[in-house]
This record gives sequence, structure tokens and C-alpha cells, in this order.
Amino acid sequence: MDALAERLKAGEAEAFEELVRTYGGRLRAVALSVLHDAADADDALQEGFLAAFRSIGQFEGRAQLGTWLHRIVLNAALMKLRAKRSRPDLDGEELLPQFTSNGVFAERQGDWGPEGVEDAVARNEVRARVRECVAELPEKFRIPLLLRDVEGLSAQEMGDRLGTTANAAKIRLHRARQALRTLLERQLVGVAA
Amino acid sequence: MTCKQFEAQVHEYLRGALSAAACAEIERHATECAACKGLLKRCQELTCKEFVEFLNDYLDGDLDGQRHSVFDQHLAVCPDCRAYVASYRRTMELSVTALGGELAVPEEIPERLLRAILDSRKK
Repeated sequence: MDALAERLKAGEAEAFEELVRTYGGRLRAVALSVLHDAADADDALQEGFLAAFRSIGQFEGRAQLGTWLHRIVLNAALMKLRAKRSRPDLDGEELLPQFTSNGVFAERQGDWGPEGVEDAVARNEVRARVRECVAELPEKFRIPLLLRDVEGLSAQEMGDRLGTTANAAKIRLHRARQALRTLLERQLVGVAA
Repeated sequence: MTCKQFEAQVHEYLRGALSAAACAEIERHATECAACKGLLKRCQELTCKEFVEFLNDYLDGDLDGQRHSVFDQHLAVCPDCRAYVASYRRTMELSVTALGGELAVPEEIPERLLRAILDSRKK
């Protein structure tokens, strides 16, 4: 494990300062890219670091320390973004595909898979909208998505982190992607049209 | 009804979206044409719901050979699932792009913010 992580776990005060100095600027940019407001980004950064300080005991060194922090600060920024938009919390089940009693899709599926979406809007705009959609996801979906797409954890590692089996973690990730797909369809296809 | 028309309408038939007359035509054609009867059977062998439920295993290559080929066959005849797979893959790519990497050039954290973070830890 990272030497800095060992010092943090030992509660060494200088290690906390080193952590914030090393990653603070970079992670502030991450929070700013989500929130587009310096004061909000600073709040999210502070909340993220506090969450990291509190959970450093759970850091197992599977991901790099910086990647682990990135996921935590990004989650704090996404939660702040969601709070700002003050949308009602989604249960998430309504975002999963619907089928008839025959097991056939209840509605025709639009094909927005190819690159066309990016032709319609600037790439950064798409990234911002994807983040907004991730922010809208309920925590049960958002966390597995961040663990995989930010930290790059395997199903087994996600299961360990979520306190469940590898298979259950895999299913949760799959459901999260289905839910995100529904939100993206509403956002991006609407934009492209 | 031609086989091409049958193929184009079989999913609407299974969805229950066709009129009674159109359903009757589909059913009549299926009794007369062995190939289309087989197509209908394959469509019913794996539903879209099952396909989507195990889509991650299919994309990860975690299905055994026989099961994988049943999924391949479903995909070949189901435009809805083809569209769904394409958009699901795109979702995976967009999520990684939007959430991961490509960080801005590292800059120093302002001293006042650094102090605020470290002070809040002590509270």
C-alpha cells in the first residue's frame, strides 16, 4: 500500500496536509468541472476530503490513493449538484426498461448508440449532461457506477466494498447502467433532436 | 404475406401491437412456412426481458457457448435489442469518459482552502 496511506491510517497530522496539498488542486478542478461554481466546488472538495479522512481506515490499496479520493470527491460534487437542482429523489426502478407480459420491449427502442449524439452538441456539453444524469441516480446505482468507472474495481472488489457478493455487485452495476441509459436517452436524444 | 414481411412484423406481433387480422396473418404464415415458424420459435425462446437481464454477462463473454449463441440469434432477429445494446454500450463509454480521467492540469490548492479542510478535520 501507498506509504502516504499508511501514514494517514496511523493518524499522522503531516500526512493529512500532504494529502490535501498533493491532490487538493486537481480534485478542486474535478469538483469545479461538475458544479461550475467556485464556492460550491470548494464546499464539495471539503466535504469529500472530510469523508476521505473519516473512511481512510477502509482504504485497502486496491485502487491508487488518488483514484480513491477522486471517486469520493466526485461523489460529493454530484450529490451537491443534485441538491442544487432540487429534483425529487428517484427510486431508480422506474428507470429500468419495461416489458410486455410476453417479455418483449413495451416500447420501440430508439437507436442512439452510434457517435451521432456527439455531433449534435459539444463534447464538454455531453460530459456535463452525463454527470448531471449520474447525479440524478439514486445512491444504490450511483456508487457501483463510480466504483467501476472511476476506480476501475472488479466485481469482487466492488462486492467487498459494498458488503455484498461479486455477483450481486455485478447485477447492481448492470441495473445502474440501464438506469443511466434511460436518463441519457431523455437528455441526449432530446438534445440531438 | 412474404417471409420478409413476417420478419419485419414478428416483434410487433409478440409485443401485442398488431391488429387481430394482422395477427391471424402472421399465425397463418407461420403454419405454412417452416423457416418463419423457426424464426418465431427462436424469438420466443429468449425474450427481450431475459436478453436485457443477462446483457452484461453476454457483453462480458460470461455466457457458455450454447447460451451465447442463443443470445446471438435473438440479436440477429430483434431490432429493439440491437438498438438497446448499442445505446447500452454508448452509455458505458460516456460514463467512463465523463467520470474518469482527463483531469485539468494540477494546480495548487489555495492556502485558505487547505487550512479550512485541515481545520474542519479537527472539529
